Amino acid sequence: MNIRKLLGILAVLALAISVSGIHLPGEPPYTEAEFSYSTDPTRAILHVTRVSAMLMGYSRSLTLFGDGKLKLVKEEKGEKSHFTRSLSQTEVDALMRNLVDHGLAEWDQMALYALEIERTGRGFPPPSDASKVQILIRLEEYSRGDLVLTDLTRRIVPRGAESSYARALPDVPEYKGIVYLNDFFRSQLELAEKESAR
Amino acid sequence: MKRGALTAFLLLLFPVSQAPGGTFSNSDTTLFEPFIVAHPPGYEGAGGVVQVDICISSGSAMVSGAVDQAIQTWNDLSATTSNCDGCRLWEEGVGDGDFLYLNTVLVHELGHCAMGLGHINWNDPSAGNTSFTNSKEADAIDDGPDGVRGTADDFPSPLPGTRLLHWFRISDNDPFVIDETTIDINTYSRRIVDLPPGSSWPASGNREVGEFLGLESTQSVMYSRGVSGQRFTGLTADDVNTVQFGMSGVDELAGTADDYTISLVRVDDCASADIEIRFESLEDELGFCLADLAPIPTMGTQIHYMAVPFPGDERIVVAINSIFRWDVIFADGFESGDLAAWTASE
Repeated sequence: MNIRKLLGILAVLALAISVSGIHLPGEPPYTEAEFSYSTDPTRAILHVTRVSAMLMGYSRSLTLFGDGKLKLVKEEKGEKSHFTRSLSQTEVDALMRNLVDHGLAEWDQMALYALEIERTGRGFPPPSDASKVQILIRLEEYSRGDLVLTDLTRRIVPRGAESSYARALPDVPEYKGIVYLNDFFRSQLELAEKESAR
Repeated sequence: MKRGALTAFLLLLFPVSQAPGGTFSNSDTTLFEPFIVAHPPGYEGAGGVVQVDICISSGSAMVSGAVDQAIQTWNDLSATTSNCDGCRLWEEGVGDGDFLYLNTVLVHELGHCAMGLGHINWNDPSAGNTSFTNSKEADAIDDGPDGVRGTADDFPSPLPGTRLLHWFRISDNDPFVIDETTIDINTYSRRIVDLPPGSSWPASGNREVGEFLGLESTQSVMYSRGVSGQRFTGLTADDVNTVQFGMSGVDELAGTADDYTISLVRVDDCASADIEIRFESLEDELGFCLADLAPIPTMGTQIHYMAVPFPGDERIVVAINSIFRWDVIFADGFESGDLAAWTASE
């Protein structure tokens, strides 16, 4: 066994001892986090973009504004189709609550890698050729336990196989949160296309 | 999550990696060593024939002809030129073909999942896709005096500092030359100091580099872009060389006991397969390869890995997007009147 491997095992052990599950001991779960978001109709509180890794001119984007206005863009062969929908305040609340409950406001890619290494002995590689996704979540206030943040903008760059990661580590809420958001995005775009076709 | 210091320490010990004249799968991801060599599923360091069983998921039998062609392409492992009709670089805008060639995408995805290859060019989610030779952590790239992106006179900034992921022939840094050179650690390298005189960066096998070297319509199947109307009819030397480097085994020396050959075999029963090909509705992906990498025990620094199923999955997965317009009818022999595949799928 080389020294690098030995140090690695020691580090994993240290992590396993110091960390129990997803949260540090004594931390409240994400579901107990409190937050607020802007209701300003000109302020985006959620923005998601998907860009095809192999095809030029294929992308999707979703922008949710504080008043519930939802702008969706679907690009195919370089031609963009624009759609607008509107969510009720109840729907926006539920969506943002769901994202917070899954820990997306505290997304920490390095910590997730560490957790994967702790559990499986190695980090999860991304799928080759999966679309490139970027998520921005913007909150006015966010607090959980001792953590208090204001004007929070969280940038998330998922690796693209979160449904597989969620199956492999079912107790990690962050991956389920990405799956939830992907499903939300897909369903909203489908609805918008149907509404547009009427 | 509040684990910063310990996490940073862990990641120093376990650098994350993905992507060999070409590159190896996952050499550009943070989790693995940048000089990772990815081997096919089933190669654990012992020489011989590595058989990789590939199945098609139920309901996707109509793609069997294209799958068989892709399997044959990799089993032949034969280098050629003028192998790519309609190849289009990232710098050349949106393509305009009518449909996508399924066989072409399958060759690319099996290159990842079955052969352990990564992309030859640099894809960075923040910087966008480019034909620059696969690299990492450059602030800027320069196409060099010839103005052709991907050629041997390119260079990134900072240098040193930018990580080189792409392997090259030490003798000539030519991704397309076909000769009898034995590919192993004595002839193939990923170290800048091994570049031949006149080269500042490894040349990669994109079509424009081929044209610069006097070859028409020649491009590595591991270039990262798919385009409507683009069709590969074979592998380039770069594709073959990179696989052959892997086949020199964990000692990276050709002609030794740990050398292997690869045999891809299509099987009917997915229960016993290493790789499952699924034809399913995706969003904007053409297709993708989902595999994990497991370390192959070796002395010294861990750089050799074999493809394994993702944790929780039974098999490595190649997913192909069913929503695009494919040429699958033609690949199945429909046009030539061979209806065997269609009969089998009914």
